[in-house]
Amino acid sequence: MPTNPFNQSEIQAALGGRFGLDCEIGIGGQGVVYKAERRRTPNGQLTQDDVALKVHSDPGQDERIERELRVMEGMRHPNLANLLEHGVLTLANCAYRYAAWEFIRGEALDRRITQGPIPQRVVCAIGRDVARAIDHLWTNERIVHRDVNPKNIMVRIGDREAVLIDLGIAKHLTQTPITAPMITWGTAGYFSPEQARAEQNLTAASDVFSLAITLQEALLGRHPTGRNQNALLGGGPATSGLMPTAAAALASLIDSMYAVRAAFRPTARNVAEEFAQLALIL
Amino acid sequence: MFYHNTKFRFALAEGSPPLQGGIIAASAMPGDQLVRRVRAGFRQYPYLQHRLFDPQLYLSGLDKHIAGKTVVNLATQPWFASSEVPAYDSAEHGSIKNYKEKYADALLQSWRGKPFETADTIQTGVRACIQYQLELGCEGIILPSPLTTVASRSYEEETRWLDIGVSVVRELRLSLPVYATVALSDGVLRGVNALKNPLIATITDQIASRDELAGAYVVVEQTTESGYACNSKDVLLALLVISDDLSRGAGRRVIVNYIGTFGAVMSGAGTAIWASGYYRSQRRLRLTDYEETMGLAQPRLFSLGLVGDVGLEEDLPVAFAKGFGARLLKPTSDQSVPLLQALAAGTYPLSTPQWAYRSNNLTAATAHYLSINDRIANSLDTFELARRRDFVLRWLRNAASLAEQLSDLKMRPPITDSGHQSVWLSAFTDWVEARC
Repeated sequence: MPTNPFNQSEIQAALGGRFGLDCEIGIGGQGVVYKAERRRTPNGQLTQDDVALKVHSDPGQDERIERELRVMEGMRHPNLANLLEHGVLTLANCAYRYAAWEFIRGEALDRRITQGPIPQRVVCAIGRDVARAIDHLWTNERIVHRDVNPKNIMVRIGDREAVLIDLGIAKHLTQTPITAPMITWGTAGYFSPEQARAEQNLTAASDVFSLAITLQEALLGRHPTGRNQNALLGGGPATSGLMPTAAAALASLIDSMYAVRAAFRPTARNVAEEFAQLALIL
Repeated sequence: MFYHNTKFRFALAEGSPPLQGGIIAASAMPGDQLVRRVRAGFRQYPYLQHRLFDPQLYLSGLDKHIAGKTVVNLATQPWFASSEVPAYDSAEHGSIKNYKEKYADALLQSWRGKPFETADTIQTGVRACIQYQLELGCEGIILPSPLTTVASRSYEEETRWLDIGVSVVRELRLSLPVYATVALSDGVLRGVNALKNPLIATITDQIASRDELAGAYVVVEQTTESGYACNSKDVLLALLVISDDLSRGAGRRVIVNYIGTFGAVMSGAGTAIWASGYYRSQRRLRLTDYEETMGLAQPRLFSLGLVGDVGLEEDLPVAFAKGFGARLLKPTSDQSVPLLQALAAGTYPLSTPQWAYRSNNLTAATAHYLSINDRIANSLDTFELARRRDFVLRWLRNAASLAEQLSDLKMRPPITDSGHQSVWLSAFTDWVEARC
């Protein structure tokens, strides 16, 4: 388990008291996330925003983080976490990147899954929303998220909406790759076959594949292959086999999303449209 | 659908059927001259009411010192080069010949020998290319793409051109179908099983993931091909996989050019339009063909049964005498009926001078080629995909068997195409077994 290298009150002071830090809500290899209240904007305007304040602890990831933040700066979409501000703070003579993201009231899908299978109607709504986010990233910015999995999906309270978070390893096609050849990034157990092969020129179809596995996990309440990536090299397991009670239309849509050849997968836009219809009838 | 790979040959040979459409090549003539011809009306070429324009950016590597004639035409187009040469104006420049003579040096000087590299120059070129096709009244827009010659670059430069094209298409709010050019050197295909070739998967993924694209326009540069018919199983299988990925997988349209009657075979894997023509340069794309002066062509008889041509001077009479007449000559066209009769009566070639083995005596052979290819395309178009696939498989099995039997008669390749049938069959069979 990673430990928190930061002191909460030192962060508050380093940010000039503009943020009131409430509690730690997440910790990982990249940094620590706090629930906080933003009281003033960088240009001094009074405000009262609930934010997820992420302080990045690994300076080696600076370029990657900078890239994510720059891309997200002007982006607004209901199914993507909005970036409110970002910058650098100094703690004990060391510079750390921070970013204040819209705080999403709800819980991460992975936590939700630990409580058991999720109803089909809700799975359809999650599929619709995340596919819309994937489509938005791809169509407008040619960004591939590359790490679509339950940890990176927040479900708002009341199952109203799902939000795709954390573009830390997203690949922007117009930028040169940070990733070295033959090295892939993401989360094993959700890689598309082409991502697992460390292909450099991925498309949104790779995220569509990862979303299919994520949705199977949500339906089942467990990962469909126990996170065995090798079992996904030939595509995912048939949804109807994993869950015979799944609606045929839902199973068929999910199954089309993990086709081995990317060209055989529906586009994120089509996926979003189909889930939207299914969410209405299931 | 069968389209004429028009290049610069707008007029079809006398007796040709009314074809469904044509693809005009950028190398055919200077850009302004083509616009003027279109404005003057294509009424005498009804098939060109359905026209596409191939921007041929894949020719940007031509050497101006040895392919000067082609380069002069291409350099008039702003997606290849930016020159100060004025647009052709007959009032000012007189004949097109005078114009070319006057400005040839300047056009050759502007030739880069490689595609544009910066975002600004690519955007300017792509925009001009799209607007040019709109001006020509094309039924769809073919986005230019450089030739893919290095497999390990993951198609990134081509993707860059593609995305700039897509952004211009969005900006212009085009309602016409838009096709991405997929131009591959056979060097990136040979030696790799196409069913597992990551480059092919990347290409079809990139096209399928862009909602703005109606499909792809596919050409393969056959660096090492010496005959009329492609003989590389890797190349043929790659074409089938691309066609299948995009049509059955992504629901897009595939147009293929410069692959002869293999286009009909590809329609068994979902290809919507294939273009060809009688001449070798219409059936095969090879950069060195633009750098060499072609000799005079001799007539050959296209045989649907053989999926290839039969030499007229010796091979056809010999094969006919050995009882292969029906298998080689049927189905017949208006042009080949007299040939069949003459062979049966023993009066060939005297009674059928239109089929005499003579340089440039090509009218009957050309019209026959277009008739038979158009007919097979129309027949295949009436079948649903599974039936089309079965038909192609039977057709190729028969062709391979016929070629084998003819080989005992010592047909003379390359005058008679007798080597590729088993390769085509093998590629198609592999594709069917792996994917269907």
